Amino acid sequence: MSAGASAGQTPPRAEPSPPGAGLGLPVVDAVGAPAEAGPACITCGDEAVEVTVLALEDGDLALVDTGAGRERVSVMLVEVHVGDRILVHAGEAIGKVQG
Amino acid sequence: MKYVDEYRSPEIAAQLSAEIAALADGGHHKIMEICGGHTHTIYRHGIEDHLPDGIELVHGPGCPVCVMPMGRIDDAIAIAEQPDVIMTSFGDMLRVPGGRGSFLDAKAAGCDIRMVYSPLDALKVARNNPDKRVVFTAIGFETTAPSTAATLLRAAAEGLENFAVFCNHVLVCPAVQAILDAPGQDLDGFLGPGHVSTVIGAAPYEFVARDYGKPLVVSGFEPLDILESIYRLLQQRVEGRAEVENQYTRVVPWEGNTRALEVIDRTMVPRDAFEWRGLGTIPDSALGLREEFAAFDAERLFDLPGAVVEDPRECQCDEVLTGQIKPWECGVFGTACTPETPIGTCMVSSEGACAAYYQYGRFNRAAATAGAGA
Repeated sequence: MSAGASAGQTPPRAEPSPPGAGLGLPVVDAVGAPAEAGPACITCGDEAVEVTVLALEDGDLALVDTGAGRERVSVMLVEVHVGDRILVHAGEAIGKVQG
Repeated sequence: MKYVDEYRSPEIAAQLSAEIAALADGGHHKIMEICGGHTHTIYRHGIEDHLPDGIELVHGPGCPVCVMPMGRIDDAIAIAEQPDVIMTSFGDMLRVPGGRGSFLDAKAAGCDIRMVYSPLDALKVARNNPDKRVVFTAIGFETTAPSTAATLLRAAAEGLENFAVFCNHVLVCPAVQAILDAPGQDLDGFLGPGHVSTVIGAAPYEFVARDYGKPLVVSGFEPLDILESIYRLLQQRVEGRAEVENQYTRVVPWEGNTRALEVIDRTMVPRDAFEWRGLGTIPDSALGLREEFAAFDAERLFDLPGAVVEDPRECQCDEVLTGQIKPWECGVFGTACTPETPIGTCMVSSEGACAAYYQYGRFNRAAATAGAGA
């Protein structure tokens, strides 16, 4: 299922041991919700919560513009740059929006 | 939001609708939208009004709240009732009725239960309450599992000792297979989930086309996404093809998000079996925590009743979830069972077919009832 990583999608990372180590994971204390999606279900994010990356922060976090305000989200799983549009689900970016 | 105008153009919708009608050619096509998000879009935007009569949309099991069996809710409440526990979960979960009531009922009875938007918020609660045991009831398909997995990695890296996860993550493909294997199944094609596929990609659905001869189109969530995906499904039917196509290429890479899949694999492992509301017990259909994360696993840390609880007799969620009846055909729909006082899970989440229909579909229901009586 996970075969076939596209080039540039998955940067090299340290070999982990014990679990969670080697990722440079930080203590974060202000991770907010993604954009309020109105009547949308936050469990499954039935509407694309697309946000724009404003700034990258330590610990795989990013400050993003949700259209309704600014939030801090985790970008551990997606390689992002300032200005990218990303899809955020339950506080975690899970994909980049192309085009 | 970007794309709203591009993907909601009435002119293009009318054009697509006409092309769909031409392709359908008066025939009957039964299409299941797997994802509750699509169900929500279909009702909210009245997509069915733009389709010819022969196209029947059937709502699938893709709402994680709706497929939670009552016994798991009771287990979660049993954890919340333990001393010094702060239970956290998503808002929708708080209203799901179990055999002994919901999280909200337990909260009213004195349990410390808090709504969070993200598992990272639960982590924050744990940091701020070192003398409490903070448990996050995790639910969701592969869309939400990466967030839980990343949170587990953060908790492990921090060495947090008062944080645990009650893991109820479920997998979409085994559920689709269970539907395809059900006796009497007569579906002609599937709208594939969009955001789940951002994580798992489109490739895992290939068994649907290869082994069952059904087309599947991974679809976005805007009205034109849905219409285009239905058009593509019909095109395959007309041309006698059964393939997996990806309509939602702006966020779904064919191979998915490999980094997200990797963190899921590092922290979680498929369970031998899991009970789904409406679909019964499905092998390899859910995720539990890996042995390496036992210190964070609420199922290992707490004694759980683990009881199988029968659904209320009047509730027909199982038939709704498997597409046998439309929401309004359930005996308690909109009367005893409403979003404010749900009896069944399908009425809880806005992605649930019953809740979506209740919110947006009353006009249609009136018309359908009048039509049936005429």
